[in-house]
Amino acid sequence: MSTINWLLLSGGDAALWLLDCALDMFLWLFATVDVVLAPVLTPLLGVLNPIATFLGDAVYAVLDPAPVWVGLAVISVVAGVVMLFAFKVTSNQKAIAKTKDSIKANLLALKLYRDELHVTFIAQWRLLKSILKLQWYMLKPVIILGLPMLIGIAQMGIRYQWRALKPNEAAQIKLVVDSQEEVLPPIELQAGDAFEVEAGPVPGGGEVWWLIRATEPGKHSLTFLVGGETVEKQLVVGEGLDRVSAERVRDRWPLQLLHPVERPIPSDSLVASIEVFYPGRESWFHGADYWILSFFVISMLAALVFAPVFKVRF
Amino acid sequence: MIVERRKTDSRRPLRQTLLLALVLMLLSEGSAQAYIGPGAGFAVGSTVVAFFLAFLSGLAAIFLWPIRWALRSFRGRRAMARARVKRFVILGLDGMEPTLAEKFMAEGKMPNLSRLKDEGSYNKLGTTAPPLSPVAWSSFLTGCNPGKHNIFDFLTRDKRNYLPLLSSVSIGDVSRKLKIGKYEIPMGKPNIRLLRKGKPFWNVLGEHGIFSNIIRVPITFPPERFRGVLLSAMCVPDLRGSQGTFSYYSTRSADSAEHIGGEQIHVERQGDVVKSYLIGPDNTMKKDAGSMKCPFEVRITGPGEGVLKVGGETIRLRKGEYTPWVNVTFKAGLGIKVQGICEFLLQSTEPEFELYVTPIQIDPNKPAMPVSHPSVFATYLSKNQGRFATLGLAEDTWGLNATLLGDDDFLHQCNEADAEREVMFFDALEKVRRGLCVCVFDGTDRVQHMFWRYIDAEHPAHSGQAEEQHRDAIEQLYVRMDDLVGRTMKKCEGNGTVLMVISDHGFNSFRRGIDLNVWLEENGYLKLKPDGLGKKYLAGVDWSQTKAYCLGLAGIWLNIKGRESQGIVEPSEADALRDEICDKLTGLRDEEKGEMAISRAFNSHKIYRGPYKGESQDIIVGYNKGYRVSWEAAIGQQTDKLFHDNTKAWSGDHCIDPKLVPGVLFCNRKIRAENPRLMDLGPTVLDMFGVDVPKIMDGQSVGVSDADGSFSSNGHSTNGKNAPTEAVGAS
Repeated sequence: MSTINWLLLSGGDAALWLLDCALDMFLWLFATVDVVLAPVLTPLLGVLNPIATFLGDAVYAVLDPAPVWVGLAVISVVAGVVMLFAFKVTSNQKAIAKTKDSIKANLLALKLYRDELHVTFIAQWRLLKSILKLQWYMLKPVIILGLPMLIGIAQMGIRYQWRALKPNEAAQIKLVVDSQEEVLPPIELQAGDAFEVEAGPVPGGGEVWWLIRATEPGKHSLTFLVGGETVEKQLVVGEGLDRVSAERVRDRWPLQLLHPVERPIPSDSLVASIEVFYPGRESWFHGADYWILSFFVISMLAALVFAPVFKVRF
Repeated sequence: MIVERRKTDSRRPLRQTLLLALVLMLLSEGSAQAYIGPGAGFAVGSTVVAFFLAFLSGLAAIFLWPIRWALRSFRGRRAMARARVKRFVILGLDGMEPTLAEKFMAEGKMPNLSRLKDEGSYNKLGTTAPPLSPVAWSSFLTGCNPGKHNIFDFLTRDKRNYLPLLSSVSIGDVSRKLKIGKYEIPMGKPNIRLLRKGKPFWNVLGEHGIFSNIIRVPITFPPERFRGVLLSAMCVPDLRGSQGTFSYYSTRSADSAEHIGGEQIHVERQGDVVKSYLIGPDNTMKKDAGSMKCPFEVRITGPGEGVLKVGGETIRLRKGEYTPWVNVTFKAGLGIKVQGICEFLLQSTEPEFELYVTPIQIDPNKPAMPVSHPSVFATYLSKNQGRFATLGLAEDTWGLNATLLGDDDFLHQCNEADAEREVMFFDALEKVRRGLCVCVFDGTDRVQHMFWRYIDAEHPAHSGQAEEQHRDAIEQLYVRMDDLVGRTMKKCEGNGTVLMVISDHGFNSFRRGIDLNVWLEENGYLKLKPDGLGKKYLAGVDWSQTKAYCLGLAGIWLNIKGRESQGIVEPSEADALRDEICDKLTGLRDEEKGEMAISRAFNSHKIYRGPYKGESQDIIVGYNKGYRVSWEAAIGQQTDKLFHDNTKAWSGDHCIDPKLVPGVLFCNRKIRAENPRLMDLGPTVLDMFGVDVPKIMDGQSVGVSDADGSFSSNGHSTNGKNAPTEAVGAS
């Protein structure tokens, strides 16, 4: 028993060590990639985000008369077809087809020659190689299509994930200060016509919180005075499919990708981010979190249907 | 406030999800594929599924293997306990001629076969009467004489109307259809029946738990269920249901023409564009809809160059170069499609446009008809090595005969078919370590049929040919096959594998054709209608006064009352008539050439045994070297001459006296039999695996030595039923 226990414990330790190594490796890779991409993507997104938001507004203006779920379905189908076609153009279809054939052949070999154990092992090994090869062939389309797709999804997110505050509805606001000082600088949320401050500021842990209540429909601005610096944050009050910017973030590309509507906060600002806690949109189809599921399901179904039309292998 | 705070938390999963995806995208493109569109999403999905399936099946295979091994051992315990071999490999080289093999070995051009002969054994291999591939390979795989397997020729005749029928397979329509408006939706599969009788010896092995991998052995269509995998060969039809119909598109003549085995279609050139269509199978979904068609377009881009557009694919054409296999789809309606494959060969763009298209074959990736057992085996092969020819007679001898295909173009088809088969064969050798592997290569047969004229100076088709260029085509083929044998020998090294290299028959020249129907007419056995001369398929025969007729390659049928629909020969007189005709035909001379044309004729009822001997020709004709049935007589077309010079490219043949065209048998071990026969090989394999040979088999083990050279098998005896005699239809 002691030997078995020792083996189990040693095995567990080894597995944990491997997991640690893998995580360290991931973090190192991320840091490395960030160093390379940041100088390119940060300014690029500064240009692309306003364009994408403008295009998003145009698309949703066209879809505005239709119910929200119809709009999401249409966009998903179109995105599925467009990305399918783009995938065809950007990928090495011949190589993918050959690799997929190899995968299928080895799966069939497992079935046809199941009594030959050496065939099982050889087929497994070849399968693994083919799968890795297929991943390699995916790299190019991923690199080319990744950014446009993420920008597109972010545009959908700002419309489906949250909804604007309704008049007389309350929401929390959080301002994060980027300061090493223990004592925060004086921070003030200026009063406005569109909302009333019900509570706050409540400072703590480098953050300051308020509770506001919306009063007037429309797109408004929250103005914060932070140690003599003025920083603004958009506040949307109203009905319908208005896009909302939940958070105004620093000019770092991963954050810019997720919050594309407002200009990034300059990196030398005392403010790291300002967040309005909008309520989530409620729907099992196009509501918070569900919309992305619906999008993937519909777009993939569309791709499945149109793949034979475009003769795409994936 | 607390309640509101909880509501606002709904944004967190999204943010976390997106951030996570973003991070993962940077770290691994695979996980981010779901974020960059459905194409990549499916790709990652399918690879995950593939990996999952592979992992599961691998685990299952590993954990179930001991159980399977135990079950297999239990089921095949007796056989395996007595087995003297782990693996038996038979490499079939259809039509390899012993005299040529011996010549090339003596000249040192076939070192591998020489080594096989020196280290093991070499014998001539008795073939069947008639020595035709479907008959011979059927005897090989059943171990029986033709009277038990029911294959006597490529063709038989319909007793009701005397029309020719394929002897080995019957392809009927779907029996039940659902009528919806103008559509008739088939409610089942086409009725495909194998007419060959008897049980292949690999089925017997399978019953004892021994696995077999059988590739392209003739007369295995439709494939039968057994323990193993099998790819069918000879008699697999093309997509149109024929045995191979090529298409030839030309601006040359205003009329479309019909050739044996193909058709010529007139096309118009409009500017640089030629548009036409491929002809597919009949559309059985719609009444009187005719054949399905698949349009194509060729844009001529320069002298000898063009771009082909067909079925959404764009393929560059170059004069004299075959395209790869091209997928073509025929739409029947209601979303039902039939897929086929073919190759295109641009032959000319100036002054005339000429395009050759191979017969449209069943796509092995998505077979419209079963061409393998199990049906996914063809798909496996297709996925493993790419598309390949599935047609029974994949090499288009008719195209070359019609001079629409050049010698080099034909050789390309032969080499390509052999290359495709080689990949299958070596894959089988890699995969099967215990059991039977059989693979038949057809190139030897096809090339000798079409290129014999280059090695026979007296052949009527010899003069005026480009002799230098193709004089060595057969020799090169033999050398290539020797190289194949060498590589096979390497894969069969070790004591556990017996390797046999065999041919089903030999070869000889086909200089003169004999119109047996003319002979029958001259001797008072056949009467023509007044306008019967030249009519095909026996349409010119006056059946009320005809006692015997010729159709097919092998012999003569009697017009027996009660058997044929318009028979006049009393059954009681039939045997005497058979003997009478045999006596007259034996020794028939070609006075013009001063040679004997027929060395002997056999009364089939005396040389065959078994329940199907009544289905055979009544008289099997054993032609002398240089002779064969004429082209016209084979299709029941009456001429006015008994002997015809054969001026076609099809210049070599083997449908003669079986004594004159034995096959070859090389083995990496010693063989005890002095006169081994093709039908002894199945029993030999069974014997080596310790399986009792079924009593119905006529063949007996040839007695293969053990690895140490000793003979421990009860195997072969040269007396009794295994004696090389005409009495069992195999000499």
